[in-house]
Amino acid sequence: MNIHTLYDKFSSVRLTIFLCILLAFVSVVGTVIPQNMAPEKYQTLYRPAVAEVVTGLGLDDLYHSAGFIFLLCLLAVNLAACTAKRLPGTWRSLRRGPSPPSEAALEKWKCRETFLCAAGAEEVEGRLESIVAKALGRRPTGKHAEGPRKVLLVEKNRYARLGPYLAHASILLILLGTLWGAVIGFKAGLQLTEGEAASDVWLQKRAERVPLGFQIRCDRFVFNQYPDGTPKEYRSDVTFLDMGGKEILRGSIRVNHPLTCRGITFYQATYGSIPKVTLQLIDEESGSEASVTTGLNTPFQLPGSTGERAMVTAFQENVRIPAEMARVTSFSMKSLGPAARVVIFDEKGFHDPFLIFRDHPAMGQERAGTHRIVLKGFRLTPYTGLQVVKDPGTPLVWIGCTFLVIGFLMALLMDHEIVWVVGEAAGEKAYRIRMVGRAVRHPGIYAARFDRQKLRLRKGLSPWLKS
Amino acid sequence: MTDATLIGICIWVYMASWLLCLLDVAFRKKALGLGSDAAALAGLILQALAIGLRWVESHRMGIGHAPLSNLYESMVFFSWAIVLIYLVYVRKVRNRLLGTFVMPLAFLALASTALMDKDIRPLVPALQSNWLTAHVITCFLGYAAFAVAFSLSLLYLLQSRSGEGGTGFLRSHLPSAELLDDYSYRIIAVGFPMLTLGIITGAAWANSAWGTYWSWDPKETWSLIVWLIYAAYLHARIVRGWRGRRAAWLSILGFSATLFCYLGVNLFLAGLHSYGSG
Ligand code: HEM
Repeated sequence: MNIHTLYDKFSSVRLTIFLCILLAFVSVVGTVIPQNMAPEKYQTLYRPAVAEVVTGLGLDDLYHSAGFIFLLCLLAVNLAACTAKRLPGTWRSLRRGPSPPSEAALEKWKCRETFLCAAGAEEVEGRLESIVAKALGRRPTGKHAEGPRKVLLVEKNRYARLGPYLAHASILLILLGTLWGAVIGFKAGLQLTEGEAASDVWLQKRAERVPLGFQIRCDRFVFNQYPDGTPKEYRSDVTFLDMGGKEILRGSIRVNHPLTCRGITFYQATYGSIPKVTLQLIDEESGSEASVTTGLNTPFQLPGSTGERAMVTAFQENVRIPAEMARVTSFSMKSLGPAARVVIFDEKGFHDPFLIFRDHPAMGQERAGTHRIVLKGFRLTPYTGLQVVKDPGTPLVWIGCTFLVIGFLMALLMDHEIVWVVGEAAGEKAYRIRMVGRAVRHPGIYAARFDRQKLRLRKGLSPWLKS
Repeated sequence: MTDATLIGICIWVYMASWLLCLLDVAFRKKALGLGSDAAALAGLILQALAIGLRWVESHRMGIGHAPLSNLYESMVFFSWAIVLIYLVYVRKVRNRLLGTFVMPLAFLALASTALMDKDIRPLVPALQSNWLTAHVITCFLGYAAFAVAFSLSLLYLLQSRSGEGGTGFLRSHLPSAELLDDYSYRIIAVGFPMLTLGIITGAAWANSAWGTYWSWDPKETWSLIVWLIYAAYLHARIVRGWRGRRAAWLSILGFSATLFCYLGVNLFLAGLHSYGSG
C-alpha cells in the first residue's frame, strides 16, 4: 500500500461512518460493565475467567484504555485528513461560484421548466433580471452573457457549505482542549474543617502535593434541609488569602456555584465529619493507665509497653447489625453504638485489627493482648469536601462546543440552493427561457419549492407568454 | 384542577386526533384531516397549560422550579415536544398517515405517566441549576424529532415494500418515497443540533456541579452513542449518498438507542441521573 492509498483511506468518509458505529458499539460495552471498581469487586460480579478477561483487557476502565484512545485518535486523524484533502477544493469552488449549466444539464436536471415568450430578445432581456428577482425573492448574483445566451444565477446559502468544516474543526478543538486539560491541569479532593486553611492539595493519581499558590480557609460550613428532609443547600463560606495572609477574595461555594481563584476552581463536592476519639489505655500487667485523644491513623504509645504502639484506623458513630446477622445470633438490639477499629503494632509488624465499642466495653478486648483499650468518648468535627480543579483546557472545549453548534446549523439547516435562468432568442419575435434549479441537501423538499418558484416566474412573464 | 387532570384529558384529545387521522386516511375528507390537526393543536395547548400549572403550583409551594426534574415531568415534556414537531411538519409532508404513527407515541408516552410518582418535590442542590432546564428542553426536543423521523422511516419502509407488489393501498395513500426520505432526514437534521446542544448543556451543568464536564457516566455515554449513530446517518446520507432503506434502518436504530438512553439506562444500568427512579 503506497502513501497515497493510505492517505485516501484515512480521509474517507467510509472510515468516518465505520469509526462512529464502532465507537458507539464499544461505548455500549463500558455502560454494561461497571467501570473503575476495585479488582476484587469484579471477582464477585463475574466468574473468575470472565473477571480475568475484563481486567486483563482493561474493560474495567474502558474509556481510558489504550484501545479506546486509539480509536479516538484515529477519528481525529480521519477528521484532519478529510479537512486537509477537501477544504482547499471546496474553498476554491465556493469563491468561483457555480459554473453555468451546459446544454445537457439544462435538459437533465430534475427541476426544470421552459417558457416561450412572444417577444424580441431585447425587450425581454431588458426586464428579465428584475422579473426573476421578483419571482424568486432575491437578486440574481451571477450574470453571464454567453454568446447569444443570457444566463442568470439566483443562489442561496452558498457559504453554508463551510458549515461541516467549522463543525469538524470544532470537534478537533474539543478533543484538543480535553487533552490539554488532562496534561496541564489537575483534579483533587480537599477536606477542610471550619477554621482550617490549606495552601496545597494532594493528588492521588500522581502521589504528589501540589501548591495552590494561595490559601483557602473554610470559615463556615452550612447544610440546610427542606421541611421534608430533602437536602436543600450545601454551602461553604470561604476566604482566599495570599501566602502573606492578605485577603484576596471572600465568598460562598455551593453546588452548581463554584468559586475560582487564580485559575483554580473550587466545587462543593461532599461533606462529612472527622472523628476524634478519647481512649483509656490500661496495661493489665503493670496496672499503669493512660488516656489519649486521637484522630484517625495517628499512632500513639501504649502505657508500660515494650515498644508496642497503636492507632485508630476507623470510627463509626453507630454500628448497625445487618438484619440477616441479627437473626442468626442472639443480639437483641439493632445497633451497637459507637465503635472504633484499633490496630496494635511493633517493629515486627501489625497485629490483627479489632473493634472496641463504647457501650459494650468487654467486646473485642481478647485481641488486645495484655492491654485493655476502652472507648470513652468521641467528638465529630464537620468538614466540607471540595473538589479542586485546574483545567486550562475548558475554555477551548466551550469555544469548540459553540462553533460546533454553529457549524451544524449551517451544515444541516441551511441548504445551498441554485437556480439558473437561461434566456435566448428562438426566432424573430420569440424568446425561450429555461429555468433549472436544485438544492444540494434536500432535492425532494426543494422540488416542491421549485414548483412554486416556477409558477411565480410564469406569472411574471405572463404578458409575453403564448398560452 | 391539577396538572394531572389536564394530562388525563390530553390523552383522550390525542387519541381523538389519532382516530381522525385514521379516518382521514381511509376516507380522504378534508374536514377529517383538519379536525385531526385541530385536536392535536388543542391537546398541545392544553398540555402546555398543564405544564404551566405545575410550574405555578411548585412556586406556590415555595419550592419553585421548572417542571422538568423527574421522570414524570420529562415524559410529559417529551410527549408535548413530539406533538409540537409533528404539527410543524404534518402540513409540509401533507399526509396524515404520519399522524397515525406519531400520535400513538404521544398518547402512549402520556398514558405511561399513570404509573409514575406525580408529587412535586423540592430539588436537591445538584438539580438547582438553569443548565438543567436548558439541558432537558434541548435533549427532549431532539428526542422528539427523532421520534417523528422514526415514524417517517417506518412509513418509508412500508411504502417501499408496497412498491414491490403489495396491495397498493399504502402506495396510493403515502407521499412519494423521496419526500418521506427527505423529511425524515430533514427532521433528523433538526434533531441532531438539538441533541448536540442537549449534550453540551448537560456537560456545562456537570461542570458547574462537579467540576467535570464529562465523566463517562452511563447516561452521558448513551447520549454519545445516540449522537454517534445519527452522525453516521448524516454522513452516510450526505456524503455517501445513502438513501432509502439503509438510511431508514439507521434512523430506526438511532431512535431505538434514543429510547434506551432515555428509559433503558435507568431501568438496566446504574448512574447519576435521577429520571428513572421516579
Ligand atoms: C466525528 C468525527 C467526524 C469525522 C471524521 C467527519 C468526517 C467527514 C468527512 C470526511 C466529510 C466529507 C467532507 C466533505 O464532503 O466536504 C464529512 C462531511 C460532513 N460532515 Fe463530518 N465528520 C465528523 C463529524 C461530524 C459531525 C458530528 C457532523 C455533524 C453534523 C458532521 C457533519 C458533516 C456534514 C454536514 C458533512 C457534509 C459536507 C458536505 O458535503 O457539504 N461531521 N465529515
